[in-house]
Amino acid sequence: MRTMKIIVLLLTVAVVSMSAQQISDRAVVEKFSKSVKELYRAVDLAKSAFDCADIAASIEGLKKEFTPHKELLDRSLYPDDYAKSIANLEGRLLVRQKDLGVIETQIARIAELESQVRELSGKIEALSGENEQLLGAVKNLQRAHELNMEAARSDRALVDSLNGVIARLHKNVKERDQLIFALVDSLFMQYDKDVASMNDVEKQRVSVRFERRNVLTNIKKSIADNLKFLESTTLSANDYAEIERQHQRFSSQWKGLRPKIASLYLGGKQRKNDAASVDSMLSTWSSKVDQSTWKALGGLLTKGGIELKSFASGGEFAGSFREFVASEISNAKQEPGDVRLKRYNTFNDSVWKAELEPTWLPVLEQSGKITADQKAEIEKSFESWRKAISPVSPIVYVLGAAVILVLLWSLNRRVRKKTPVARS
Amino acid sequence: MRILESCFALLYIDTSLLKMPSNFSPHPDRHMKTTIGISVCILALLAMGCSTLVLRPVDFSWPIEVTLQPDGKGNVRENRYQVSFNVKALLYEELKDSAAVTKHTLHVIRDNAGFFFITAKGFKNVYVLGHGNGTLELHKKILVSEKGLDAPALNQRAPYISLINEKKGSEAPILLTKDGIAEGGRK
Repeated sequence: MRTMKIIVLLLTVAVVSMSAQQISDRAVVEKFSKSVKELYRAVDLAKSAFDCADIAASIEGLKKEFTPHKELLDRSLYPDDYAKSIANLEGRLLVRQKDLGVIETQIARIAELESQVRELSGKIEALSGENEQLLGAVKNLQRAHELNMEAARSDRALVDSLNGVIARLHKNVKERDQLIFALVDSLFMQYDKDVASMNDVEKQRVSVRFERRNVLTNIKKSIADNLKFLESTTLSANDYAEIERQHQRFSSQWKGLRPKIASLYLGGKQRKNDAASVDSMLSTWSSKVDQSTWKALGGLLTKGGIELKSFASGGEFAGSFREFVASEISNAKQEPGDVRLKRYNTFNDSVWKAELEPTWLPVLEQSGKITADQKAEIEKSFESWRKAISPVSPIVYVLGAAVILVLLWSLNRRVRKKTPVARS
Repeated sequence: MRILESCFALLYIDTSLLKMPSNFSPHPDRHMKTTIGISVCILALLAMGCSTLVLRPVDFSWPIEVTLQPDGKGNVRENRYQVSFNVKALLYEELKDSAAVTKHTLHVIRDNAGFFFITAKGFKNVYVLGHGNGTLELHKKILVSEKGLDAPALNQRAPYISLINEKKGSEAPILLTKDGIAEGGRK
């Protein structure tokens, strides 16, 4: 009941914060008027097809943003209404395009890509905001979980709610990563040529667009979100495998983009530093995925009742497991047989059969965290433990008895055969 | 002018009675009926003459608030609707100080009935002012914040005026009418 109250409270706070934002009508009208004025200025300063396309996309963005306020703007703007203001602006752009001799189809293509960029940019921003909220929700739910540990263990609602939020957060983080690189692609596609063959003016234009869309900042934010996500919760083996794949995909996309960025910002020390910091963040991400994976695996083994020497790589894991099995077989701690048998059974049932053998080992092998040899070594160690600890099967006793009986019977027969010859 | 027209109508009826044909034989009942009829007509005409011309409906509302900065003398001017007035007395009423008038930005909006709603950052009240004879007269002083408003903005939400805090968009707006906070208070 208490948990339900906490969940309801958290949901209410989230809903209230996400909806019913009161804004001043004057602020809306002023923002619209200011944007229109800025666009008029941009039209007057436009010097190329790219500038015109940029402005055309900005006008589209303006329409999208302010159409919901059309009624208010119609009442408030004077002497023109909303539609007239937009029509005048578009008319001015058309005149400017004609003055510059810009071909309409060229504009249409660039504008289409630019509006795609805008849309992606908007989605990225929205996802960033939502991710912040979800990370907050995960923290709150975990706090509720810790406060109410005993009850929470059996409280499906809380656990489900936490899992639901984590799953959504993971999906959002992944989607955001993909959107950023889609945005980068759309930005480059507008030029239909490689960065290396661009002249300085074109490079500057692309870099301005990069700046405007906060590409590098967004890339850094994406990595930071991935790191926060990893720190925020303990995940399953499959989740780690997915995060590993995500990291590899992100790294390879960044590898493709990095030389372009270096070429775009030839003289920009700040941006070069930013690119270097993305490199370092990616390496932190990689080591964090590693650490979290090994930590989660260690947690799983502890849950199964065995304590290994700490490990942080495939080799260390295989070695620690081998050492542990050897110590169990030799009974280094001099424990009674039933204690060791119980430990084996708990590990076998709750860890080995349930998670380690079917999920973790294949995932670790696929992601390259352990080699095939190391996997085989771990399996072999477990097998030898099983053999050493398992009680001898009754069948073995029966078979042994049967063999002894056969031997006795054949010995008896031989003795009987030999006896009459000796007499004769 | 209308009263004059009614008088002319009365004179015209009287004259027509005087001009009745010679073979007309006055009958007491008939004469009485005619007298009553004429009186009713005269009264109706008089009533028509005294009535005031009323145009309706009228919408005085401003679609959005305006923000006005008083000059050194306390005068504010709104250019689109061509209204100007002096706010020194209002600032004194609210702040008990009308010396530094220029530092206050007033938020002003007009409702459907033509009442002006005025407030500003740091104000505890919203002032509702109506037309006087060449004046704006206080109709109601509405207490809206004990601490003073942080970032007020007035929105037109007919039949109410909605007061919001621009810095805290999630805060519920206060719905106002010319007579005070609307029933239900914060909505």
